[in-house]
Amino acid sequence: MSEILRIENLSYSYPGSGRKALNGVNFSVEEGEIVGIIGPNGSGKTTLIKSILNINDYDGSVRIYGKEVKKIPKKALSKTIGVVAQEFLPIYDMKVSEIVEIGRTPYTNLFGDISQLDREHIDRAFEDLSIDHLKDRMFYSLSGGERQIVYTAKVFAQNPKIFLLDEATVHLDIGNTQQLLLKIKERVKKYGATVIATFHDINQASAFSQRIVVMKAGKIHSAGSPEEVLTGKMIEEVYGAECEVVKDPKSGVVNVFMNLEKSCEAIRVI
Amino acid sequence: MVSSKVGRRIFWILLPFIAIFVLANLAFGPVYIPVIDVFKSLVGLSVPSTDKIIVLQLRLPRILLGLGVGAALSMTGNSFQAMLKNPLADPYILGVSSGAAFGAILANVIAQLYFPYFVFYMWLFAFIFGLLATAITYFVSRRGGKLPTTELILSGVIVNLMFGAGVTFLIVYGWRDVQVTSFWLLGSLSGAGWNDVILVGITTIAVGIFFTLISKYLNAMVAGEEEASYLGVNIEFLKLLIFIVGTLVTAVAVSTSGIIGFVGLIMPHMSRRLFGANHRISMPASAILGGTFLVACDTVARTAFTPAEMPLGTITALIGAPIFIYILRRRIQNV
Repeated sequence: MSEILRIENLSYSYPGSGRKALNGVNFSVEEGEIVGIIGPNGSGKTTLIKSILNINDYDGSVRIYGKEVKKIPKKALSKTIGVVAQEFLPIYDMKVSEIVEIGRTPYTNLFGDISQLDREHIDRAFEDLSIDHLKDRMFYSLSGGERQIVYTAKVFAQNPKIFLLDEATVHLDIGNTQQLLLKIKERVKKYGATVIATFHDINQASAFSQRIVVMKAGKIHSAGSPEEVLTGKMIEEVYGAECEVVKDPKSGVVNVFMNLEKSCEAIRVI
Repeated sequence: MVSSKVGRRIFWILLPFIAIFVLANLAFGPVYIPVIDVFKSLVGLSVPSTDKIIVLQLRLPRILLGLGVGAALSMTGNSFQAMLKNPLADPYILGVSSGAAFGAILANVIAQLYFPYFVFYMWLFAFIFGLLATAITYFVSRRGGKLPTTELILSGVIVNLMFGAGVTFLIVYGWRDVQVTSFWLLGSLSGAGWNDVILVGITTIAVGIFFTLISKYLNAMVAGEEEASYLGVNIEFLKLLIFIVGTLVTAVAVSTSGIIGFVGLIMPHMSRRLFGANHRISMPASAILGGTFLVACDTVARTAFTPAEMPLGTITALIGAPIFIYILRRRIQNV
């Protein structure tokens, strides 16, 4: 496997705020890897995603295939990275097929005509996400879960090499979350994409990721396999919460259980 | 809303009706000219000379100007709405039209009182003050990178009032004639000449091509600037282009026919209702609907109260204001 993303000494402060939202972040991602990023609110997860996308004018270095992101033209970058954010809220209602077609924007000609190749990617996105039956529906007539799947189909049609999921499952129930994450895993297996995903839910990150990066106050606290990283000590240090960490003997997935039996004084506020 | 496939079909069905509508408009007015004579005048066959003059020198330029101005304002409104992610944005609501009118009149007054050659700078002045008005509305209403509906409308109202007062002041100061304010503040296609038609025609065709070429980017912007940037759209550059082109179009429209409100607001809305929200179809559709709507309003303005003529902006406002309220109410309920 070759290295697809390398981040070195990455720092960023939001304009007007003296605090560093990212402070000397270093890590790299191999091609085909699924990396989960966790950390409490304000730890810098979304800022990190925005820096990878060159939306934030960061200090340090973010390189994709060895090339500095700041030097990659926007169009070329959009062919490399696709983003699934928390939700997709178009100002006007549109047909599902039209929403998915928008994913081909970086590839279409001046007039936005859909070519044979574009059509193949769009059809494949519908097929891979099993949403052929939604093609002719209007976007806002769908349930929240269906909308997020359609949004993901748009990003599938974009055919990026790296998927950035920015808390993409935060508004979904367990069924829709499972469906979305499974479909993305299938995509990785089928076409060899790389995924970097931020999560609020530690258990989702644990079930989904091969490697977890833990962030705290703009820095990387720890990184490694879910089993290595997800410990009671880490959760107490990073989140200030006391939890039980249990490994499911059947699947081998590490799960974190919140303990509400302890007294409030035992919980350290960070 | 309907899908773009259905929309495309409706669009082609509507086209011949629009041609018939324009022909009918050439026939009706204070003087009725039989449709066959209208047709003969258009193709150069012999008809009574007065009929020919009415058709070719009075009504045709007026209708063509209406089609051009309506199409240009409607396309501009459509692009502003997508860009600002606000279905209530249009050159009139944002105050661009008032700013442009102020600039055009300022150049006229300077030309009349001090330097006659300033009359040639009318478009330039309209453009500069239109840009100024847009900038004021944009920056006053901007909150944390977003343009909330209430702030946008309030800023537009303030800018409109400010430049509206400026227009009245300039007219009274320059011409000592309040009557002229009606042309500028309520709009009119009367006095349309072939020079105006050529200017508006070239502008409308040029911006039509521009808006067609950016339609795919407007589609990408439908869920906001950040989403569009994920698709490789250079947002800041695109916004700047739309603001400049939109203001230029408005400046040309206002310089030839005064401030005509609501066309840029309601016609894109109608077009999305009829033909779907895909800009590749809604952009040409709003151009056709905008042009046709303005010509229809002008027909009412010039024929309903003969021999007097109702200012065009009054008719567009009478139709546009209730639709504006409807969109606003729906938007507030959805918040």
